[in-house]
Amino acid sequence: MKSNELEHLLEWMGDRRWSTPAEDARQRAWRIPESQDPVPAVSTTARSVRPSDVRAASTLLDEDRRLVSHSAEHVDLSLLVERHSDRQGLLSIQGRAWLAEGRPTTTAIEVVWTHEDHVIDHRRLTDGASFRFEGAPVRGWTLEIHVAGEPTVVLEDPGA
Amino acid sequence: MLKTKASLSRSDTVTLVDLCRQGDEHAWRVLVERYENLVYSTALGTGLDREAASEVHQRVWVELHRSLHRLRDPQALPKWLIVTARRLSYEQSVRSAKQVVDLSDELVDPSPSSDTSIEKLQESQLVHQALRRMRGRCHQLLQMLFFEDPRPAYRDVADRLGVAVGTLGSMRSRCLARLRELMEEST
Repeated sequence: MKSNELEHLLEWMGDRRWSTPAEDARQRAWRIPESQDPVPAVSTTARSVRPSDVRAASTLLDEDRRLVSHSAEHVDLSLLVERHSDRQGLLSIQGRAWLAEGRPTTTAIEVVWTHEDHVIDHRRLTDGASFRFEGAPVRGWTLEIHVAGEPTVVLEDPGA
Repeated sequence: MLKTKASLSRSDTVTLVDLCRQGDEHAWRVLVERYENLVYSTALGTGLDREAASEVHQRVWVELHRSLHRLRDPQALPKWLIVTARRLSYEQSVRSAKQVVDLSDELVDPSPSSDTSIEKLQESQLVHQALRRMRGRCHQLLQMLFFEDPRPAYRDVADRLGVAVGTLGSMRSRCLARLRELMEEST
């Protein structure tokens, strides 16, 4: 980097308020490993559910809302995917997951919202419980459904 | 054998991420220290106030921690942190009904695309790491000239450093050259 380029970059950093967060912010970030639940890994037998696979069970309610349902052997899933145009396009995914009949109802269901190598959010549910994720709009997200001992179901963004 | 925090601070990012995946708390702390300015300043740069930027800072580290085992390219962690900070800044701004600058929903999508502000932020991280290794008057001078708000007058800078105003120009050139050397050493 040339000298004048470095000076411009330093000016840019100053203008963009390049600075250190408060000490308590650092301390809180340091403590994250103590309080975070581990996110399950995708099983090697994961089954990908592409938009075309759920088309029959995906209903476009209007331009910004889509109902999606999917049944795997071990879990049923129902979702409402909504893009909130009144809130600068924030995306919400709310849904409910049920274990297939015959499975112990105490079995946990983990739902993980991802985009590429970002785990945006996750929830640990009991049978029949609902969940809601909300965040900035990302195209091509996936929703992973984990049930112990079963292949992960990976539902791809039905609107992509 | 466990590494000390001092020796970890000289480790590269890929090594730190690998150690974090194994649950090494020291490595996690070093990673936070190394990139906290990048994350916080990215949030501030979108127009959030300090409180909101601190909230984003925390959420980025939470997201990184739960994504550690899925990072495909730990070498590209700075970019990962930038796109996450921008996405969460966008969310924060919508929730608090504040307008942010330089941020549209096109830019919050963590796609493999590149844009100039991502490149500049990554370069800024290199400058930051070099500045952290700089000691003495050069460090003080560059901090005062570029990062103090409001920017001090040259006479104040000279007074605080205990040097004559007339020497500041050459001192500035020398310090920028030293900074460039430090950046080259670390790349």
